[in-house]
Amino acid sequence: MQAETTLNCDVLVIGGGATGAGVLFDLAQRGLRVILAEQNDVATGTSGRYHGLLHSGGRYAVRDPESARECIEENWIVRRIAPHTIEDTGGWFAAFPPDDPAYIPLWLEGCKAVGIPTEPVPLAQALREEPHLNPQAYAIYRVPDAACDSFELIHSLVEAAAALGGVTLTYHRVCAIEKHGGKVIGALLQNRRTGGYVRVHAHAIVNAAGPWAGEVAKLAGADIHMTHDRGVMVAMNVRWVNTIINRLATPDDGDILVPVGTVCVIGTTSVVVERPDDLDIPAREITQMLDAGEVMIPNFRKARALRAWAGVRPLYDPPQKRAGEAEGGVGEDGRFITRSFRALSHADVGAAGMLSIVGGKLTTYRQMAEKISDEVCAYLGVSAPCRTAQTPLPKPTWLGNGGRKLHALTHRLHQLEHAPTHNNLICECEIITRDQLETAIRASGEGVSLDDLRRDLRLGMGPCQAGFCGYRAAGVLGETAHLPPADSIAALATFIEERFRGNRPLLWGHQLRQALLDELIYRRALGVPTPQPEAHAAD
Amino acid sequence: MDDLLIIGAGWAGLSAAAFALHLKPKAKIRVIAQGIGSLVVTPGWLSLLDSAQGEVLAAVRDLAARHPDHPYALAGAEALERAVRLFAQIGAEIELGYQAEPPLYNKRVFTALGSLQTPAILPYGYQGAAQAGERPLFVGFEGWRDYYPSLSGEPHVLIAPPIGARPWDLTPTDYARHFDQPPFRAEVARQVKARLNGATSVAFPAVLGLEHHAETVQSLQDRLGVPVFELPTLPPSVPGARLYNKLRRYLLDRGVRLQIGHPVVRGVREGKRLAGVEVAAAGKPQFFGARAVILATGNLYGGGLFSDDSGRVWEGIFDLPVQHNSDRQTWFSARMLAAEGHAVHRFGIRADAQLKPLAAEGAPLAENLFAAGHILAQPSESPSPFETAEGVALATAYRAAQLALTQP
Ligand SMILES: Cc1cc2nc3c(=O)[nH]c(=O)nc-3n(C[C@H](O)[C@H](O)[C@H](O)COP(=O)(O)OP(=O)(O)OC[C@H]3O[C@@H](n4cnc5c(N)ncnc54)[C@H](O)[C@@H]3O)c2cc1C
Repeated sequence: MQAETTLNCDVLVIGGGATGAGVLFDLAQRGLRVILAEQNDVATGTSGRYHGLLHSGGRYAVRDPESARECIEENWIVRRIAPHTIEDTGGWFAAFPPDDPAYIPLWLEGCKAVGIPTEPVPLAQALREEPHLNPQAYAIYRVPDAACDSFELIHSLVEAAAALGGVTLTYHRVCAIEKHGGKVIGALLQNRRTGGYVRVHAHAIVNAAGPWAGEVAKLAGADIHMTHDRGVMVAMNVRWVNTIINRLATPDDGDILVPVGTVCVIGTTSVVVERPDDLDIPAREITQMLDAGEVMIPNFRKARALRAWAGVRPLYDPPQKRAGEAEGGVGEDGRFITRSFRALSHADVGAAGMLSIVGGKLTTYRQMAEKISDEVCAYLGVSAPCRTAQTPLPKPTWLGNGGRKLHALTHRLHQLEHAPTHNNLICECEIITRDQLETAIRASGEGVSLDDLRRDLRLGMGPCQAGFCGYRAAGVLGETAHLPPADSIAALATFIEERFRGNRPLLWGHQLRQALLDELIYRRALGVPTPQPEAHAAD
Repeated sequence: MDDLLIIGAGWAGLSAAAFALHLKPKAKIRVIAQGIGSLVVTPGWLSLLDSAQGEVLAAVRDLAARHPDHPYALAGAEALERAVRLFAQIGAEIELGYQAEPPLYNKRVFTALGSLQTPAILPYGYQGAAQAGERPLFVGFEGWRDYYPSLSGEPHVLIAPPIGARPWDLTPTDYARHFDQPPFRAEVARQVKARLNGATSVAFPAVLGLEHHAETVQSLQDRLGVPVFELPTLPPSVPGARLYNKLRRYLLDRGVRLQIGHPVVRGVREGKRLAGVEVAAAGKPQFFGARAVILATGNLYGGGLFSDDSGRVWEGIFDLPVQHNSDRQTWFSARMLAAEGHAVHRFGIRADAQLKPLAAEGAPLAENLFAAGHILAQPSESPSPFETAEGVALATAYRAAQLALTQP
């Protein structure tokens, strides 16, 4: 393959999730020249599809103490270095009638052993704090869980690294890894928007590709066995609780409820799937989540299910298990595999300098980055120590909004009310004006899709499911980016399909009616052509 | 006590009332509905069988012969033709230009994206599309968020109509009211004329008048000297609203009682017959007695059917069994715009050859209850329900009205 551009660096990091962004920042801070390659936008892999929980470790206290310890250590650190990404909701572990009381002493012991503070909450007080909680809860303990915005966190890391010279290449997929004399020497990247190639010369490569780690390792001739464990989450339009609620029982489906902004998210399922990009959401898993929600919050499903999404856990399934790990093997679900992480070297297959970081949690991203960065530095003979645990991260400034979350609805409303001459609303549900849309289109440059704009602005995420704003946004996109009409229409058709993929599992009751209305608009009023199947291969 | 009580004010309910008036002018007819139905979101043209190549009524007869479960078949081979002929008379009176005299052939109309649709019966606004010619000019309004003529792929211009400071968040209905005013039309025509540039026709979004549609189209054509036609818009649909308003007035003028905003909550049985229905009201439910009842509350979209996350689908008033897939996973195809459509469109109640809804045991629920419109199940394999949307409503409304009025 003929590369159009050549770039040089000390270390190439593959993967723009929390782990890769953490490695980028860590190594940049140690003075290395680092490039991060991400095949889509940053935070679009598992890190952008997770449950939103900065774990206290309580969930792993009984069966996975190593991971539990990592979680509580990092929990304190992340609160300190990235407070802007955290909503300190606190968390409870609560046992409800079907839960086995025998689990409670085991759990308390486990927490104590790894240093997770627990504090009993009397039921009367619990119900004062959380009036919707199922009053049949028979034991409740407070732990230091928190909600964490992974988009903010990852953007903070990328920007902090950029300030130190770290480069992030989005929409660049690593398609080959080049070796010479038993070592890796670089990689070939394809720009997915232009189709062109970039060659990166590097002295070391970090594989932080999450669930794709197996595929990336294969490019270097290495074999690591990942288990792809898919989990489904459902966001309800009511913030039923202000505290994260965990079931005080052996981890199972749908046993955590996380309040996030104005909604709350129930999750998750756990199903082993073949492919790292299998994000299907079977209808029965949704019903399972709603049933599970009812146990913690009676009438849970009376709220509207707003969105459902799936993520694939990058679980590492080592050939040799350590003591206590994975007894009984991996069953239907991946819950028996440790949530701890491993750093793997691939010198054995003639790829010295290529290191993979696998397993772990979003909560432990920093420790994972530290560990793999230590290994990289050892390989390169660099002695700079890790300082990430002491360095506060900046608030992200992306899209230039003074570091304020663009997607905070109240913020938009405020702007709108104070600038009455600019209120040409394109998306009424999420309060997106034509000005904002045009600015985002220009900032994103060539090849921007409506789905990119959705991620930046929350376009089409409201109750109308893009029935109205999809056409409007396609019109504004065409006019602003001067696209041929066929391209704008194709962008619309692709966007409709992407939105539908997310909404389809939630189509019953009112949302089903809304979808049928949208379909009437698309098919009868607009006559949107059926897109070709490859139209949404791009994510 | 009414002779006929119709539940639902969508296309099926309103046309059933209009047909009943013609079949039995002295009948006491009442329409009770929760909302104003889906007319205001449909484009306002009538689809009988959009894929028909030859004469449409003949193609519909073929369809009915091939699919004995199809609502067209239940309504009977002649129902659509009779309905269409009656609608032609009504259409002449409501002055929206609907031309429905058989034989009928599908027409070609444009959408805002420049694609073509092929319904059979058109109001004035869409008729000019047939004379669009080589170079139609698509006209939009500067800053209006609901219409982007650049997406049509045809020559296009944006004009600045005399509307004031905030043109963008007007609804299609607001624009239509402006077009009802002659000075506004004149100004629009002046601006467009200056930029015609050899156009063979002019396309506007479907906002050419709410009360004075025919006059608006005519005056624009006169001023521009070329055919003028409309393109359907995002809801609310002005052509749908025109039709709703005219039909409503037509029925009220002839003594039909229309009660919109009143949810019927249940039927009241008397042996094998319905004595009437109960309507939710402040205090206690109100009873309305009727000799016959037509259920025209629509499908899952219209509001006659309901669904939940477990895959249950039910009918909201009589708790009639609904033909549907119990595995919710199969309700929709993998893609929204899938050519094959979605199974969910076909869910509905079953009825016998007299359009009497069937209860769980397979026998009619009541001797004097009839169903019309999209609440009726449609067989899989038959053409997409979108293709036959208004035709199915017309045919079953006609047949249901006819049968209901022969009740003792
Ligand atoms: C359902 C679910 C719920 C979870 N909930 C929580 C929780 O509440 N709290 C918590 O701490 N953890 C949670 N996790 C775990 C956590 O989300 C993951 O462990 C973490 O996000 C993994 O981050 P990562 O950066 O390693 O992987 P990812 O975020 O997946 O990043 C890998 C990136 O690599 C990119 N990539 C892959 N191949 C290539 C290539 N060839 N070239 C370029 N780029 C490539 C991908 O596009 C992707 O963006 C959850 C996981 C799941 C699935």
